[in-house]
This record gives sequence, structure tokens and C-alpha cells, in this order.
Amino acid sequence: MKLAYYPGCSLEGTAKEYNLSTKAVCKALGIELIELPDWNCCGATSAHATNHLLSIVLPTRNLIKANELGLDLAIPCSACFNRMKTSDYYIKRDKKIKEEVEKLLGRKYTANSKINHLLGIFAEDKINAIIASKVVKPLQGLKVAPYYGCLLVKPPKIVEFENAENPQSLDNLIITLGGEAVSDFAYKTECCGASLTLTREEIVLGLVNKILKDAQLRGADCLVTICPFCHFNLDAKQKDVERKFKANYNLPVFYFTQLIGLALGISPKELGIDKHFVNPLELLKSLELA
Amino acid sequence: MEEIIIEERKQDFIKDVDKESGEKIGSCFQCGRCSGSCPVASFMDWTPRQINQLIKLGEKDLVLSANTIWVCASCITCTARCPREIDLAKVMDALRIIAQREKREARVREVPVFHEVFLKSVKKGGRVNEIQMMFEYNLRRKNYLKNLTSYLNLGLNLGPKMIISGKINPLRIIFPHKIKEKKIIGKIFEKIGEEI
Amino acid sequence: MPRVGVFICHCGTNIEGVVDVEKALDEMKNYPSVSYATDYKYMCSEPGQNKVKDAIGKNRLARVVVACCSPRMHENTFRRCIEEADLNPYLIEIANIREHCSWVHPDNKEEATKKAIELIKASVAKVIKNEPLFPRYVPLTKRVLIIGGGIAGIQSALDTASAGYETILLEREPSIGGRMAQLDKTFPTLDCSACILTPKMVDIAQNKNIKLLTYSELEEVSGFIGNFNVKIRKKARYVNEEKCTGCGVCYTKCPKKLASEFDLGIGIRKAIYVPFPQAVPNIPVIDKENCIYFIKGKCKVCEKFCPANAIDFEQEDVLIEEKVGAIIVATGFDTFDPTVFQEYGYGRYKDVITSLQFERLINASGPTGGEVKRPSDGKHPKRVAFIQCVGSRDDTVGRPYCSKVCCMYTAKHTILLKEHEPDSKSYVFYIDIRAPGKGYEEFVRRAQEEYGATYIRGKVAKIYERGGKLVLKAEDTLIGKQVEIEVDLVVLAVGIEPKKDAKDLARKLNISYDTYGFYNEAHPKLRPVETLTDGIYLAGVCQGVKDIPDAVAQGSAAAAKVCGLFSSDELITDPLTSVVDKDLCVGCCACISACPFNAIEEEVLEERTGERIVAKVNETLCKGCGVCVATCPSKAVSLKGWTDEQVLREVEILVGSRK
Repeated sequence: MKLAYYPGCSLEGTAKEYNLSTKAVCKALGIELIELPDWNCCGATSAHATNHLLSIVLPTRNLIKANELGLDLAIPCSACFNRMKTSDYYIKRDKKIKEEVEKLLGRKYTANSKINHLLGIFAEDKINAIIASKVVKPLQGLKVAPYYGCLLVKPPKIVEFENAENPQSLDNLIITLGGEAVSDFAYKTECCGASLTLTREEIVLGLVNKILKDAQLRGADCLVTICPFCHFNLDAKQKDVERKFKANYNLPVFYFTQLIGLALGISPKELGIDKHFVNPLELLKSLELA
Repeated sequence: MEEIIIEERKQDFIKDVDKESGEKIGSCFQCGRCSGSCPVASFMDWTPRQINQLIKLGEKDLVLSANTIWVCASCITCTARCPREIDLAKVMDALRIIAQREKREARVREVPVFHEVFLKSVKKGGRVNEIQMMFEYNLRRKNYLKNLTSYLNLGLNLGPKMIISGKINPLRIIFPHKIKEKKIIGKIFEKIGEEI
Repeated sequence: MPRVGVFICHCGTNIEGVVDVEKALDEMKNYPSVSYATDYKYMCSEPGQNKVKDAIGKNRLARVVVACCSPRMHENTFRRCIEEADLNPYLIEIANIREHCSWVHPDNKEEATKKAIELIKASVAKVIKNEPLFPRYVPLTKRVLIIGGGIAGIQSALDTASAGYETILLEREPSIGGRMAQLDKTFPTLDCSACILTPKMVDIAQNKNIKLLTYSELEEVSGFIGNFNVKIRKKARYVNEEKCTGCGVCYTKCPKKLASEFDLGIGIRKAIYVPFPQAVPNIPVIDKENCIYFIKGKCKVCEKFCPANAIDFEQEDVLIEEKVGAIIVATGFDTFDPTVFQEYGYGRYKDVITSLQFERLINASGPTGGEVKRPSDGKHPKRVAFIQCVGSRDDTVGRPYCSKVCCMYTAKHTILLKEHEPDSKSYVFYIDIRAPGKGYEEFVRRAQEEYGATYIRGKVAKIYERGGKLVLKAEDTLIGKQVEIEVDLVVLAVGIEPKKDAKDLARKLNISYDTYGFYNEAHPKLRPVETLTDGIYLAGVCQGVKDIPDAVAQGSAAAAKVCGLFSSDELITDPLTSVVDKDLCVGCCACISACPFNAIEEEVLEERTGERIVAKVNETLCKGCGVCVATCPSKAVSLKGWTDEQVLREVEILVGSRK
């Protein structure tokens, strides 16, 4: 299986372990990732808050690259995925926008590449079966709270990813890996605050506190995420949250590709697990998973 | 707070918002689902539903001077839950676009500053140079004394940890990564800037 | 050439204010085809009509043209008028010089006058070609079929039966009673639903004019008003109705338990069962799909214990054919399934239930004996939240309409809850409160003021479970703040929608329905219980959401329509129907497929050269729309009153090829 890989700006930096684990896991599963040549930033939140046309033209440049490669896309970051799907949605429905975008880029958008979030690819029956067959270290005893975040599943009409209120693909993946998905995690699709972490930190701390509190209430040992910003807020900010709300969580936050990698027997170092703020090694060692 | 005088001449604002967002604010029947779902509503001056009603009354200044549109986290839950199928997240975008276009003073000035710095980084190099952007943003957000703890945390805790773990390359402040077609990106920004 | 009379009406100033009537009259007097012309202020009035009648006699007129308002207004008036003067009522044409002329060209008097004259001349040209037409008389069967044994159907049946007409009441469940049988008390009087319903159910059973067919469904319908042929499938109960005494030993002994449909899944029934204790008829039914004997060949406990030897496993479905003259459709409704709202957790959380399930909980003859218990742990709830507008006023699930009765039944629920659980507290989350009936607003206020229900304006955003309780998040829109509440039980006020197979029944009956599946009435304001299919009437929620008083009113209204239909011994058919010239017809049957009223059928002709198929129009069903005329490739079909001859003469005048 060959896919056009769009890492997104944060995977080279603050979400490096996501990049490492994604590449390691894809290699182990025989999925060839071809990084989009000279890809540009999707615009994230800032573009759509400033100019509608800009927010569509930036992601489309990358979509066209995938079209030209003749490959479907694999996108690890929820925000990038959301913006790509949104651009595709508006270009297909608004002739004026399509014209303006194609004029600015000097190329045509043929829409022949399927836009996938990385989770969507691993949730496919075929790939899921391959993963199941290659599990050598089932995540036995690991209670994971599956945190989808908001942009992967909303708005349902545009992203077309499962049920927006109670998605199951990450839950099912955890079970495939031999772990236990905490049922009834009330905050599974509630927003972490994303970019407000830089502009209004206290709001993010409040939101993250609620998420961690509920995960702890449901008996989770750790959380798993599918987005770099969610990971940053839940992991890097956890100590600040504990300090502000006088709580004690100590809940490591994994990228889902790291969990897949662990179950496939890839070493924690290769998966970038040593780069986390909340150290997961103790938890993993206690369950003999590392 | 003074009473609101209801006048027809204020109604142009509704048309502007409808046009900019492509949504019909008029279909809102004030059920409150959006505000009930909003994770940050309790931090807002006016809840998303109240903003809708203010738009209906044409109260442009009240809407754009509130902190609501800047505190909004763009989580799109309001859109997903609205029984009238109004894309409220898009309406919030439209309000932010109008506010920035008219260079209005924002109640949470850090947010438009952040967006400006972020997009500047994209314009220059085609990708967001995280460390350079963080640097410039922190410089421009001012209120240095008030944000002292945040700066200290960044400089003494988060920053070093990220550098040590290899996530951030400090050299990137001086030598940011630029894509090959960065000039094209720059031109796109300029062309769009003309249309605003 | 027949002698034509032209009568021009001034219609007060409606016509004369724009059209120069004198000029038009002058021109018609001098027109070669016209033998007599006159005018009058109000042609439709008595003196006006007398003028027409006198003129016919004095001038030996054989055709009449009245230039006046739209034929929709007074065509029938003038038909009757010339009939009184011994002229066939179809030898008249109306030239519409008001709605089609003076009213639409008020600023252009000269052109309007020219147009009026042309219109009159066109009518003259047509009427010359008109032929006398005669209506037919069709016998009718004075029996009525009522589909649906809920309160609306029951009311209709009692009314038609008391008017002396044989009534067949058809119900697909094992017992009549419908939704009212599931309710505990009814708003706003808090009458016990079963107490007011069961006497009517017993009346049905005892009425000599009513043939009650339960556990039966409509299989097929054919025919037309006054003459319907219906095929009914009486499903096998596997219980002999003559022998069964209704003692109930069989279902007491039956070992197979399943979720009861009547209790909406929160109660149990057996494989042999009556849906509820006051069932009419009180004869059980064996659910073949779940009966141990039918599945595995063992058991037969019911047969062993039945003291009347009434169990009959060999019983088969019976197809019954009946002839009826009218059909009343009163098939009722289903409630919205809230599983699709995953943020509310219905289906995942046991303690999130629907309003109809709550009705079963609170009913003394329900699965918990009237004790309000949490489905999860059986404890009595202290705090209960009621959420309005679940599946109503919601574009996301294709239900933008308001279900009308939920505000009222929720207020009722808070009152009943307080009576059953004095320590409990109710919270109602609403968007608007709709309480438009007699005593309705007062009832809702009572729920709040006397019974202490707290009403919070804001549609609930999300429900999740925490520590065995349910947490609700919403915005209190009246104060503009987010609120959170922890409750023991959540009741979703689900919306009302048509039955899942409503559309299938509509197709069988050839009646139309709206986008949701509610059956269409003939006119939304003025003809609420008729359909556009003659002889078929509507009653109850299948026509649109309504409360019990309105359903009963419609039941009686539909019955009255049927009685009106049956008041004469024959039906008069409109002669303006199409007719097939058998000599020209090639039997392609294109008209049969094209006819929107299913009014054309095949006829086999026995001829010297062999058998031949031609088309034949059923004049009782034909509405004279003319689609068949346009479809026929051989020009074999023509429409009486609008033959090609007649219409083309008109057209010639209008395009100016003839003056």
C-alpha cells in the first residue's frame, strides 16, 4: 500500500514522536509513505479565522500534489485533516471558490485523492487485520482512555469520519492491540482548547483538567491521542494543570501510533516515547510492555 | 449597560455576516444547544447563542467588541449540534474576519496577534517555524509582567525540555526551514491581501 | 348551425370598469354566428338567470355563452339555469372576461376590451361544436371499512354503526385500543386513559353493526367509490376464537418470555399473549416466530393447560374478501427513535428512556405496577430530567415540525411523577412551551406552581453517565449561563411520526402523503378528513399530529362524510370524462400507464377475426384530466366536453386564423 504522507508543521518539531512512531509503524506494516514534495502549511486555525479564500488555497496546494502523485493521502494531524476535507468540500460546491483557487495556484484540482486521517487508514478492515496478525506484545492490562478530540469528527457533514458523538475506531484499535478501552469516557470528543494554549492558557488548563479528571474517574492508566495539539495540551501542560487544580493525575499520553508500535514489538526509543513530558516508561514497565 | 435601540439601519450587519459566512443567522430559534455544548462558553462575555441574537438585532459593536469570538476554540461542536443546521463555527470565523479586516481592537488581543504571527511565518517560509513563531508571538503579546510566569515556564521548563528531547532545534530561530516554492506562497498572500 | 345566445355580465364594476361592455355587446349582436345577445349587471343573480331562461325560450336558442367570471365560480350555476330551460346543461360555455381579462389588465382598457371580444368569440366557436352529455348512475354498497382500531377508528366505527351502516373495523394488533391503551392518564383532566377508552372498546365488541377483525391486515384494494373490493388477511392466532373463554391460563403457564412491544421493551410478555389485560377481544395470540413449539417442535404447554381446548396449532391465515362503499383510514403513529442522538445515550444508558416508556412505567397496569423505578437498578429516582423536542423541530433528522402534544404530556408526566414519588423533583428542559387547547396553559402552570416542576429554557447539549447517575449539560438561555445537573432518570419527549409502513398502505389505497408520510387531506383548511381519492377518508394522527379530542372529532367527521355519501342510493358520475373509440384503439395501453387515477383498464373484445385488447375508461374514476388524450398515439381517446373539434375551433379564433 502506497500513501502520500502529509506530516504537517508540528510533526517536524513539537510532535516529533508522532512522526517517528508513524514512520516506524508503517514500515513494520508494509505501508509505503511518500512524503508530499515541498508541502506547505495547511493554515490551521489562523487561516480560516483571517480569510476564507486563504484557508482553502493553502491546503489545496497540497491536495493537488497528491492528485499529481496519483495517491491517497495519509494525514496524522486532526487540524490538517479537517482543513483538507473542508477545502475539498467547498471547492466541490462553490464554483467561484474553485476558479479563484485554481487561478492562484495555476493548477487544476482533480479531487482524485482520498483524504484520510491516519486513524482512518489503520481502522480499515484490511489494515486492522494485518495489525492484529502482527501483534507480538499485546497491551494486556493497559487501560486506555481513547481521546479523539474535536476536529477529527466535526463537522460530521464535512469530515465524514464515523459518528461525531460516539466514535469507535480508536476504541476498537485499542482492543485489537490487546488493551482495554475505557468505556464511557465522557470527554472523548470534547475540545482540549488547541491554540488557546498560547493565547489564553488558563482556559486550556481548565479544559484539560476536565478531560484528565474524567479519564481518571473511568479508571484509565493513560490516554491515547490522534492530534499533535491535543497531545501537547494533555502531556506538556499536565504538570501545570495538576499544580493549578491541586490534582494528581500522572496519566501518560500516547500517540496512537506509539501504542501500535509497542504492540508490534518496536522499541520505545524508536517510537519517541522518551520525549514525553509525563513519563510513560514506569507505567509500561509495570505492565511488562517495555 | 445602556438599553439597545432597535433600528432598521443596523440591519446591514446581518446581511454582511450572512454574506461573509454563507449562513442564515435568521433561522436560529435560540434553543441554546450551541452554548450548552461550547467548552469555553463560561469564559465568554456573551454565549454563542447570545451573539446570534445580537447579530439579529444588528448590534455590530457589541458583537465585535466582546471576547466571544476570540475565546472561541474553533472546536465546531456548536455546528455539529445545531438543530437548524447553522454552521455557527463558520459564523464565528466570519466575525473574526470582519473584525480583523476592519482592524478593530480585540478584547483578547493575543488571539489576532497570534494569527498574524502564525500567518507571517507561513508567508515567509511556506511552513510554520514553531520556535521562531513562539519567539515572535511572545515578543509581540506584550503584558510582559502579567505573563511573567508563562515566560518563565516557557524559558526554564518547556523550552529546555523540548530542546533536550530533540523536538525543537534552536538554530531554527536564525535559519528557519523554507520550502522551495516559498515565493509562490508569498505571492498568494499578496494577491489575497489585495482583495481584502 | 345551432342558434347561439351570448350573455355578457357587467359583474358590478369588476368587468365593466375595464371592459367596454357596450362595445362588446354591439359587436356580438352583429356577429354572424350569434343569434341573440344581451347584457346585465349581475348575470348570476335571479333576474339575470331569468333573462337567460326567457331568452332561450323566446329565441329558440340551442347553445349559450355567458361572458362573466371564472367557470370555477358559476359554471355549475349556469348549467343548472339552462337545464331549467330544458336545454342540456353541457351546451354552455363560460367566457372568463373577469379573472382572465378585466382583473389582470386594469390599466389597458382598450386592449382588454379587444381581448374580451376575442374570448367571447372563441367560446361561441366552441359551443357550436358542443354535444349534449348525460351523467351515469352507479349503485353503491352501503358498508364501510375502517382501517385502524385506535381511538379515532373506534369513534368512526361507533358513529357509522349507530347510523345503521354495516361497519368493518380492521386492526392489525391482537387488540383494538391503539396508543390510548398504552397511556396512564390523559391531559389536562388527568382522566385514566383506560377507564375512558375501554367502555368504547366494549361497545365495539357488542355492536351488532360492527364486524371486528383484529390481528388482521389489509392485503389489497381495488375498485372505486361506492364499489371497493378489499382483501383482508386474517392472521392465524393459533387460538380458536369460538372456544376461547379468555381465562388466561395459557399465558400464565407459557415458559417463553420476551420483551413486550406494548411495554416498549421494558416489560415482558409470553410467546402466547394478550397485549394488555383489558384487550378486546380478550383472545390471546401465539407469536409464531418465538413460540417454542413452532421453532423446536416441543412444549405445547398452553394446549395442555387450556380448559376450553381452544389452542389450534394447525390454524392458517384466512383471506377474506369484502365489498365496501367507503374506507376510513385511521392508522395512527409511531414515535421517533432517539438512538440516532448518540450524545443523549439512549440505548447505551439504561436510565435514559422515552416518554412512551415512562408512560408504561407510571401506569398501574404496566410492567412495574405503576412504580417509577430506574431500569438500571430498580431504585426510585429522586431527580428526573425531561427533555423536550427530541426528534421534533430538528432539521438534522429531517423532522422540522413541532409534534404538538409533547409539551402537554411532559407537564402531565411531572405531575404524575410527583403523585407517585412525593420526594421527587422534576426538571423540564424546553425551547418553547406550546399549550394551545382548553385548559392547557393552566395545566402547564399547575405543573410548575402546584407540583413544583422546574422549567429551564435550553435544549440539552449532552448527557453522560457518572457514578451511576446521569449528568446533563445545557445553557439556561434565560440567564445566559451554562448549567450542569445530575439526575437519576432522563425522559426524552420523543416526537411523533407516521408509522414506518404508512407509505406502503398509501400506495395500496392510492392516496397521497407528504414528505414525512402523513396522509394528505383534500384541502388543508377546508377538507381535513377527505382525501383526493373519492370514497377514502382520514381520521386521527395518520393525517397529522393531534391530541385525543381532535382525533375523536376527526373520527366523527369522517363518519359523517361516509353517512353523507351513503344517504343516496346511487352515485351520479360527472359526464366530462374521456372515452375510447374502440375502432381506432390499437391496444397499446399507453393511456393505462399514463392515467394518474388508475381509471383506464384493458377490455378484451371478441371479434370475428379473434380476440383484441382495447382500452376502456371507468367513468366513475375518471377525473377528466386529459392526460390519456395527449398520450394516445392513435387519437383513439377523446375527452367529452373538450374534443379536438371543440378545442381547435377556439384556438382558431384566438390565433386569428378565423375571425
